[in-house]
Amino acid sequence: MIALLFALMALAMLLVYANYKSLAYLTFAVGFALSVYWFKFHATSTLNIQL
Amino acid sequence: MTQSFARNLNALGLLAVCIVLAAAFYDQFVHSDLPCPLCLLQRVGFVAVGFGLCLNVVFGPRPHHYGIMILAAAFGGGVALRQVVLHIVPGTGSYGDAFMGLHYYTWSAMLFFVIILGSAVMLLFEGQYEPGMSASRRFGGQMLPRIAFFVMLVLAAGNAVSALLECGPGICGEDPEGYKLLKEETPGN
Repeated sequence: MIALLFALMALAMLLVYANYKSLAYLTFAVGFALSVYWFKFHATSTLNIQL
Repeated sequence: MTQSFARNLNALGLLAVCIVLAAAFYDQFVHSDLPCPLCLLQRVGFVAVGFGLCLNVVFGPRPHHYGIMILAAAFGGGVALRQVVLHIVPGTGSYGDAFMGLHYYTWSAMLFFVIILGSAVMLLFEGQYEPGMSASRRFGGQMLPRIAFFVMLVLAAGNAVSALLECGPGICGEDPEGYKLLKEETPGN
């Protein structure tokens, strides 16, 4: 669910604005880890092209 | 380089990233060019770079803020290069439109490389880490960093809504043909 990644990044920015720096880092780290997971998921899916 | 100058440079960088995301939105909504999952993940990379820039404009430049930007750009660049490689074999087609002869994912790969390069150059100037008169004030008490921050925040939230409409709560289709959540249910289905 890629929308969640954007939502987590936006939330991290809001937390930066609200001065919750540690929580912002944590939210960003979770979002970043999930991004890597989704990248692995989509990058290793079956190719539509014939090599 | 003073902290105030570095903060304004970061604000300009943040606005540049905002322009990239706004251009992607323009292509999506005006030319009906729906982003694929890898395209969306590249946008995530730009938003993540934006997060590092936001930290710099709100709290002032710090080496670990630049580190976040480099990590995010490395991720985005990896996704972009993966998409370039996917279409590099002649006859395998391409995805989306081209701008000045290059596809968006190629531009994206180059931009992420420029971000890594820019962050590395910024890290060289240690004067920016010395607290100035406005160091303790959020946004350094300046207007440009404040505007850049809120534009980025709106674009990040906008991308969340757009991705949700396109992909729904599940997995994004490899070749999206419409907005999943906006499709009308046909009777009997």
